[in-house]
Amino acid sequence: MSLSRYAAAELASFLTAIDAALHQAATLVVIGGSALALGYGGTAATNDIDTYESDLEAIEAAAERARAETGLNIPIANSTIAQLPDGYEERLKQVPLPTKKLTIFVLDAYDLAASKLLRGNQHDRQQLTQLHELVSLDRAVLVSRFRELMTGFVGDPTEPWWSLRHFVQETWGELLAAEIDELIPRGVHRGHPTTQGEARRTRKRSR
Amino acid sequence: MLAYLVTSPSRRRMLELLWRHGAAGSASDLAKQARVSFSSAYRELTLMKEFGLVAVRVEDGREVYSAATDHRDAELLRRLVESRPSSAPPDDPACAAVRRRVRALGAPLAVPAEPVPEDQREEALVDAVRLARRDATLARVLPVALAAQWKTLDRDRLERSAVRAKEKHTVGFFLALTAELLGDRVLRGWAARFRDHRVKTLRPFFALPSARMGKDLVERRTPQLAREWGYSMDLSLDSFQSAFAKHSA
Repeated sequence: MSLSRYAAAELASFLTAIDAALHQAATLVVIGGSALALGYGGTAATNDIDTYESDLEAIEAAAERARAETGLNIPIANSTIAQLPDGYEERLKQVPLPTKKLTIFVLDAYDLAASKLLRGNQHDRQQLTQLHELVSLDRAVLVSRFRELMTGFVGDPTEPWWSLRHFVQETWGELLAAEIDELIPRGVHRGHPTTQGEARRTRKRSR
Repeated sequence: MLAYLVTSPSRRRMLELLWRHGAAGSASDLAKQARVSFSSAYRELTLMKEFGLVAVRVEDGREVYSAATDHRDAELLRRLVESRPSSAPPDDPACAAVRRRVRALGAPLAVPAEPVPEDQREEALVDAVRLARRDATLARVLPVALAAQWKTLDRDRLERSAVRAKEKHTVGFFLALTAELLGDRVLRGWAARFRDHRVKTLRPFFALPSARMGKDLVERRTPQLAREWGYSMDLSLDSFQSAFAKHSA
């Protein structure tokens, strides 16, 4: 069995155990590395399940019972810092687990990718590369979703834009990455110019 | 692959434009499409012409360039321009086994744990350090396992394993990182013993095709401690700290 199936299977068996212990219906919106594992077959980053605006009180007791029953001590917590594109709710993908009371959704692949790019560390981009290998992301849709997300972004936008540029460069090449430079809004530092022409333009702009 | 073989971004863009996207046009058209200066585009096209890599025809008095698809190495060049070496974490059975073993030692990875005999823990940790250079997620959570294990490890055995794997300096770096996250001076002393004092210049920590891209992000994010050990990386100290705080309790 492949590593990715192991990772997803373990999270899935924990969630199925929660479902069995539930007395009422509940819904989870899973984001981050666990969404990649559950929804797309990727290797999850950690053993916790990050959720977004989910009603965790409703599942608290059931989760405790599932931990005792399965021996999987997997924490579930709502992320307080995640930023997602507008309308993500309409694009959620339901995880096809045989649960009766617990409905589990993961982010749509592009919402997941865009949210990963906001932080965009090496491990986030590695997970994104894996997501791309699993679902073959469309560059135009990804860029458009990322731009939507950035319109309401709170924080310094420089690193997210650089992360997008580097991911596009890694995945689709230098030429298409150069297109991103033109999308970076004015006032956002563009990083090191990569050609003499860009260096000249940057110098001209700064004069 | 192309980024490694062709270090000039202008040349890469021109090659991708002609050989991957099948563009054709005057030097000025192609310069605009490749987002490079006219002089760069013209220089590249002149050189490509010398090597027979572009076909040139005259239309309405202007020279129109396109990929020379009848060149005897055309297929080779096209494949080279299109190749994208993956930066995804390796997923072969040997790497999967390393992850399962390091999980048993406390690394919070979503894989089943594979028990490690007491006297093989040092070797399992060194294997994990080696894999961490290609798996950033593992690198991020490895200090959690080291923090859980270090007090009961055999330091000499750890050193021997690290030397055998040619990863002594990297093991030292992870020990130093764990010491910083724990605020432990004794462990810092351990780390010093693994240090290779010949390392003076910065080199990418991650052995991934993407590790040499995004120098600006690497410049911003490399933790000071990593710099002191001669490593640059696109993984901030915050990232290590947040994983450690979440899982080391």
